Amino acid sequence: MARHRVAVIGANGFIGNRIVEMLHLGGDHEVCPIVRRASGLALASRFALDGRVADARDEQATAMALQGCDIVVHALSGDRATILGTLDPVYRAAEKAGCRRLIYLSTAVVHGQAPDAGTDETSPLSRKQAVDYNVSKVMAERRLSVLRKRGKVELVVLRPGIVYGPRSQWIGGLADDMLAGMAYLVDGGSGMFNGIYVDNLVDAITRCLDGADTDGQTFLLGEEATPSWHEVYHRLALAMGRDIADIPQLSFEERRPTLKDRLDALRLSPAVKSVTRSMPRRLQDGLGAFWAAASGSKSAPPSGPRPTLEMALLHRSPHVPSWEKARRVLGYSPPVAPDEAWRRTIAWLAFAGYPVVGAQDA
Amino acid sequence: MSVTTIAISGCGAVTHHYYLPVLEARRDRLNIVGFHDPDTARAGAMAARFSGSAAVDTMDALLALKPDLVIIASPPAAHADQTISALRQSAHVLCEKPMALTLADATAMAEVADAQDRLLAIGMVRRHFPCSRIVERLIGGGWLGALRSVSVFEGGAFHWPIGDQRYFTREVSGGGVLADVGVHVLDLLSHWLGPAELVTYEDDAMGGVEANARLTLRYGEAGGVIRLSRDWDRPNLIDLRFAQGSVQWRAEDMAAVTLFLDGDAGQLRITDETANGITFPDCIGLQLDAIIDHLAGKPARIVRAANALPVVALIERAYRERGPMEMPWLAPVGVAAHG
Repeated sequence: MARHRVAVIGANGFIGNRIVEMLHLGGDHEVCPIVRRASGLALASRFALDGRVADARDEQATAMALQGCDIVVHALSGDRATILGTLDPVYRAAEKAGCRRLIYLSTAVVHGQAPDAGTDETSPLSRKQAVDYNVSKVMAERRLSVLRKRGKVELVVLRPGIVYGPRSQWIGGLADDMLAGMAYLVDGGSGMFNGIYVDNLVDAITRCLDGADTDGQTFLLGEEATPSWHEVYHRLALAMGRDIADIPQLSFEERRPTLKDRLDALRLSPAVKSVTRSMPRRLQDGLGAFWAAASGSKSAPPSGPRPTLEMALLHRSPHVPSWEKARRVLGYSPPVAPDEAWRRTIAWLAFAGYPVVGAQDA
Repeated sequence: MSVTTIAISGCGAVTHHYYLPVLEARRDRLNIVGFHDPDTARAGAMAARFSGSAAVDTMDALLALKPDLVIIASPPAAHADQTISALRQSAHVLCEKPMALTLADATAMAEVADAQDRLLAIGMVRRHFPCSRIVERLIGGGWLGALRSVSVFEGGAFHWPIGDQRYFTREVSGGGVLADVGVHVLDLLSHWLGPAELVTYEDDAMGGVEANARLTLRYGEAGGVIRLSRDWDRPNLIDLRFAQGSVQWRAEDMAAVTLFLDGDAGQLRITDETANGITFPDCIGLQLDAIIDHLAGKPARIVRAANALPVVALIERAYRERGPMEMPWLAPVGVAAHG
């Protein structure tokens, strides 16, 4: 495998940070973390790395930051404006900087939270989805496809399932919710958890660094095991000495969403919670006041768990998409098995100060 | 003496967010004579807010303005040289934390202050939080009995609006989260509980500066675990356990602590009602007022250089004896995380 210099845009996010860690510690490639503000380099600066600061919406600044890199991994998340507002600048900046390939982290939920049986990369995508994040990612993939047709930079699009592991909002956020009494399962959580441990995703990314046959390709990514959501919650509850039976089982009735429903769905979505968590506390407080004002309530968001459409669809999903193409073309086979992935995830929870059974103090 | 003229070295985020509002609120009794920063535009923007204030790009030019008191709010690597220059020009100094990058530098700063008979105060602003005084009184009163244990978990994702990424280098900042938030935590604990003895120190630096750190300490017979983070938001909590009860303080709550009494006595939230709504800049203001009062001969709470040296020594020793934090998820399969 050739040695690459890999720029990671969004290096301060959960996945971006892990890409930086693994590529640097693995030693096979050089890695260049790129963040919007210098403060975002706090984690990357544990290593002696060439970190750079550029707003991915700024083509010129991003082109400067990409100098010397041949691969760009776009690992930014956020709302629709962020998702769509960074595509053209990053693609064009990569062209200007002479990068060979852009690897874009999309998501399996472009097929919806509850995909049909047999869903794979050939399944049509729809913009008529109730969850805005899904629609934004569909639009992003389409825009990138246009950019690739017109441009020189090769493109690989990855659609991982729910990425979990240390620093994942799906883990830390769920742990927070369990501690705060806000966790819930819809209809018992019997749906399939389409998870992928973050290290397995990074393994797939490294398989996309080379190979002309992957240019213009899209790959769904997942794992062999597809536990139920109930099993996932049970693992986490057990680790923190909680009883899964104490987590409320709620029902969810699909209806035409009100403005308040839409705002709540946005506020409670893991993607937005992940971005909110990365904000200063004052901004988090301000946002809380905004949610309350915008949704018409006189105080903070309502107490007690309220299921969202997104979580209801996930918790009920009877199928997961197929990732056989990644196995066939990339040779992807998840290197970290589920038990080991959960062992590492729970070790991180203890490290981060969550009350994990048997962990040493703090 | 009475302090009437003040100059500031360093026009970054600390000055912008904290000192400017404090000085603007006191402009009727203090004369702000100058701002120093290598970035003259930044210094100029701040100086423009104070009539007659100059913007300069060298420390010599700042000291030529003959300030009574110089506030050193520059990057930590510059603290020692700038403080010593100011003291030698007969100015008093309020130096932001961390006092210096090394114990040798910090000791030299303290010695020059003594030799020049000038005040060198260190910006340990948390001692001016109302809750800090409450804890001090609770412990000092002796009602809680002997200290049993100390547990601290402080941190969250890093958002401080730093100018550039050089902040995350040992050369500029002396280290990572320990040299930053750790100074405040260790100072408060030593102020309340007396000197600490380092038992172990671990962090997650791997060629750079740490985002996570863990110290185990001893305060007399009691053990302590201090966990610091720039990584993940968890409740910021100082938990002091005594023979008869415990005291808990959350870092974001500057005016109140919670007292847990053993037995059936329950828990009490103790609030300084006069300080409701107090902000971090308010406490910076209290600190500045205390220094000015002290220099006017009035009784005031200040942290002299000599009071800050033990924490500098503790941090220096911690870095010298550091071990790697255990992070079993970190390395890719088959790769050791710590070189």
